[in-house]
Order: sequence, then C-alpha cells, then structure tokens
Amino acid sequence: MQQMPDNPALSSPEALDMAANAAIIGGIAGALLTPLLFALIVALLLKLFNALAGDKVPYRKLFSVSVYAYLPLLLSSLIGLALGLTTPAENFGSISISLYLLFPPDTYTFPALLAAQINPFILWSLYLAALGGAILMKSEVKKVGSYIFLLWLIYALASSYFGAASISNLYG
Amino acid sequence: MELESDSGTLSLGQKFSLIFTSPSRVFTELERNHSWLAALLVISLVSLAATLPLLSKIKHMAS
Repeated sequence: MQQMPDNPALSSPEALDMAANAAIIGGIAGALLTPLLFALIVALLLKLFNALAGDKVPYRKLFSVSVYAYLPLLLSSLIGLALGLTTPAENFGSISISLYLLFPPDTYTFPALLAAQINPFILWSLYLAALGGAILMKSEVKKVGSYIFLLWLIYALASSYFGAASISNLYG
Repeated sequence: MELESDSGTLSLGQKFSLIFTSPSRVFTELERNHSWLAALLVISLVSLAATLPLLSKIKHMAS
C-alpha cells in the first residue's frame, strides 16, 4: 500500500498554521460552492441528454431538480459532522462514509481513491437527479440513470487514476 | 415508476423531507413550480454549518 509520508514542509508551527488557515478557507468555500457546482454540472448533463431524447425541458427546471437531488449529499455532510465531532482531529483521515473505509488511512493508490468515490450518498443523489430528469423529460428513469451513472463512472475512474498518478509522481 | 399527483403546493420543508420518502412527488411539483433559490441557500448554509465545527477543530489542533 502506498501511504503518504509525513510532509517536512509542515514541521514548523508557522507552516502548520498556514496550512490550517488554507484548509479553513478551502473548507468554507467548498461547503458554500459544492452544492451550486453539483447542481450546475448535473443540470448541464441532464440538458445534454435532453438535447437527444425526451420532451424539451428548460435548463432552469433541470437545475431545480439538481438542487433537490443534492440533499442526500447534504445528509452525508451531517453524518460526517457527527463522526468528526466524535473523532480526534488527528484521526480525521480515517473518517469516511465511502468504500475507502476498507483501506488504511492516508492510502492513495488507484483502488483506494476509486473506493473513496464509491459513496452511497453520491449514488443516491445521482439516482434522484436521474429520476427528476426522467419525470420532467417524460423519459425512462433507466435510460437517464444509465447515462448519469456511466458519466459518473468515467469521472470516478479518471479522477482516481490521475489522482493516484500525481501522488505517485510527487512522492516517488 | 408510479407518480403521485398532488394539486397543492409543497412548502420548502415538505420538499426537503419528501425528497427522502417520495421524491417523485417533489419532482412533479418542480415541473409546475421550479423554485430553487431558497432551497440552494438553505442547502449551502447547512453545508457550511456542518463544516465549520470540523474546521475549528482543525484550527484548534494546529494552534
């Protein structure tokens, strides 16, 4: 298993403080922007499907479906909060609600990164987006669901592969 | 999948709870009334509220 070695750049208190501040700013921005980005991207994917099949539906209606489809992911954030509050900060790396639980913390191999993408809440959100899109487009849930799932699978495989490759290059 | 029909308008809270139990009803409602701004604001604020305690824990650990 390839595990991340301790980062010598974070050995000084100043560097650790800067890293913590960066994590906080990134965390706040991510928390605020992730639901919007999810809705924008999923609605765009549904609109692309709609260009080829089903009754024509305006983008803003598909966007509203995608906003509500995010709710399972919000639930996963709340579960993550509950787990995080009961876990020492040093062990945050071991908190996961994905198949990454099967791997030791701080493992960044391709299978581990792929397992980190396999989260029941993202699959639930994608199912809801497919269901909502199918209802609005008067199409079959199976067709829209297969399309969304296939795109997510390609994304999960590609991001895991390139993530593992870049970490491997960084740490040898 | 059988769709439930409902002539009444669902409140934001009802949509948030029904999305987990009867999502078809929420999406059928969105077909008529595709309001999303309030939902997105609530989702973003709850998402932020779920993140801040963990971030403060990280900050506390670093200091």
